[in-house]
Amino acid sequence: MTVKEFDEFVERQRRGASNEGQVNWEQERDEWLAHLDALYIKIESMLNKYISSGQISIRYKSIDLNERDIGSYQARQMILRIGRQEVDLVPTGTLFIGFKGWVDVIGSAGKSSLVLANKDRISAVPRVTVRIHKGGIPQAESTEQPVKIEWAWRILARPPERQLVEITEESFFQLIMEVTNG
Amino acid sequence: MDESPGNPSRLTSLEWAAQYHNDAVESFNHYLSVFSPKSLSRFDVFSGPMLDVGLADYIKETDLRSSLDLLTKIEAAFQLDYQFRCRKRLKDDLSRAFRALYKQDQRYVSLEKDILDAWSSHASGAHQLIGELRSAFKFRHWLAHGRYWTPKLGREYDFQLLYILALTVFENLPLRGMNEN
Repeated sequence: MTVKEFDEFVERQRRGASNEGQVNWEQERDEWLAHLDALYIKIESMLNKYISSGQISIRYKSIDLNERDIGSYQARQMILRIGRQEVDLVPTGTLFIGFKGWVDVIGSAGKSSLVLANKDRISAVPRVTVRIHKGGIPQAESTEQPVKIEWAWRILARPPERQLVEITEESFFQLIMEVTNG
Repeated sequence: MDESPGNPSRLTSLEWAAQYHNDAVESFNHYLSVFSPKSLSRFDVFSGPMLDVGLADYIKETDLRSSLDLLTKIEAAFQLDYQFRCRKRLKDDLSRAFRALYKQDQRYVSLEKDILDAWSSHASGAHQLIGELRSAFKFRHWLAHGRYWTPKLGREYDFQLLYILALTVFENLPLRGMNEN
């Protein structure tokens, strides 16, 4: 590690902090956790028939997450028990480009993801406008005014597909069967 | 598309990587099934639940290997872009910075120390994406160097998340040199 490398590191962090200085990270975390609770309520509702009959059981456990800017916090992991199969819904965080939340769905036979995305978005790939400078003239990061986004949970289609799929009983049950080889 | 090894399109083909990954996962699902005669002979001590555990381990390992493959494709794309910009003597600030790097050292440049720094300095709008890449490449270091320590990554990485990251890079950054000479 040279002094020059350290200088560059400090400058990178300073630039990042100035870009992100307006963000209320506590609020971001709380909003994401509220959306996570809403997802679990929706899933419990979809599985209600099976839970009532004892065919599926649900439990939760707290897990630790640690994200840059937000720091350490706890979130709930949902665990579905279907016969001898277990499916874990593991929240992995809120800070990933273009999304407000990400939950891994892990079964014995595979893995998939639920994402919290702009309700109007159909592609999993976010749009980012990047411009390379010419003549030493930096261009503004973005001139667009922030707009109020309505967030919704979606199933991330398995690559190479790239669409975001609405969560319905049919699509969610299919997801469970895929990750358990059902 | 020329599928020969070493072809830039093949090196950076995400779709091919995804199909390979899916086929590997499907193959293990068939192989480690109670209906598979090969599985019963290979894993003759496994009961059904033991097979599930074995399958989950294989799938997790496959995910890690496929994740490393995606990260090497992202690195290849940035290195090809660097080489193209140096070779073609493009006039934008990023290309000029790359040529200065090349003149200075005439060596293999580091993705994280040289190339991503240059993108941060000479491109607008890429700040968050470059930050995501820096974090993801900490995961790549762990994968590529034997996984003998517990990485502090700030988030979980897997094939699906890295696939979206790779697509976001390939479709939003003006990377050159992948399909042009």
